Amino acid sequence: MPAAGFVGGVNAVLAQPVVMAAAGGEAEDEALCRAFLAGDEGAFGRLVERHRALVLSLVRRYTERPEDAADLAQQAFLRALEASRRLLERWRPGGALPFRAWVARIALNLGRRHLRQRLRWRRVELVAVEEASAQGESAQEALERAEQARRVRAAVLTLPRRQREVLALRVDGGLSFKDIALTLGMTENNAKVHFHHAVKRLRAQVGAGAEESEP
Amino acid sequence: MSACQEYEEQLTLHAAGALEAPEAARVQEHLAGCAACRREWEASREVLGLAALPAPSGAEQAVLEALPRQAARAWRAEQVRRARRWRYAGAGLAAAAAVVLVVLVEPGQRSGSPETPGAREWVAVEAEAELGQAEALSPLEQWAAADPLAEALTEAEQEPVAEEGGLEELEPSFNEYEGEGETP
Repeated sequence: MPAAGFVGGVNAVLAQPVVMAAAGGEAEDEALCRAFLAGDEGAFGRLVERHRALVLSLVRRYTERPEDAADLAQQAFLRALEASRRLLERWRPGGALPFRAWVARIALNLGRRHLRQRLRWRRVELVAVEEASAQGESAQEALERAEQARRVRAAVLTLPRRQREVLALRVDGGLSFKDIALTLGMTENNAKVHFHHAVKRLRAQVGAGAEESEP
Repeated sequence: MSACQEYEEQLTLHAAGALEAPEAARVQEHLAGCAACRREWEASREVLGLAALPAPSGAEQAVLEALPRQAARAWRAEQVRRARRWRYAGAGLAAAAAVVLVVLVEPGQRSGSPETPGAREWVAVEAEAELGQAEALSPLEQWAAADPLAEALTEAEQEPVAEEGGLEELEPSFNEYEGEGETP
């Protein structure tokens, strides 16, 4: 279960829970892929509906504008569908199509590439200020909180790859560690260790930043 | 005073709301009596709260709504483009084969050598057949050997970003999807 308090992923807000990985879910994804590739026009739309909240929650950390998030999410689905088509064309002895894991992974990858092209976090900062103000904090407190949030979110993007991916899948995607492990092809315990190290590193970076900014 | 070592990872997971109920209860019980672990847990909660993104805007909600329709439309457009490319490639291949035939057949006809009638034509046809076979087999071989996810994850990037330590070390290879995760 995703944590209720801090998880700000799209799934937490859009009343559209992320579909957890399960054999049934994968089989349904595969059926939708097959149906679409066989000519069922609506099947791809239904497939996107199943996973759009997760994919958008992952790419928005890397983007400044909703149009960019839309573009990355769309690309992620098209690439995952193309990869699925390749897999479905082959003879496979068993196992379902891991569409959700693939599209999540592709989304993270596209997000990273987008970030490399354009590093911008201004929107996050501005929204954070508005949110804090709405909670009745003073303007000064709101600004300090926004600055802290900006620093932490910037630090998230500089985490080592595995740590960042695990953190994003948990915090943004709201996935369980079992699902994170499935998505990234690692053990559940490994995913937890990466997460723990990510949080430790963020705390250390934020602590160091706070000390530097003190007069 | 630092947090109890045996609880360190559990505290982080608890801060993320990721522990199963019995385990969460056990950690919660420990927190009630251990101030150092409580501080650790609260610090992790704090940093995770700061790391979380703000709620999606109205524009982002609109993106979510439109995504299924737009993705399906983009897929269809891509298929049309691909079919067009194949048609052009096929026409180009046919034209190239015709040129090869003309080049190889014409000198034989001009010299009028009686000892090898049709030999060059046969060579040309063979060459064309081999070319066609190569064209047909090459994608097949590629298809059989390729990781279906590899192309989707392939990046055509370059330049490292100096200030992004975490991003710099991200290798573009994604073949480890099938492999075991590494330790940090």
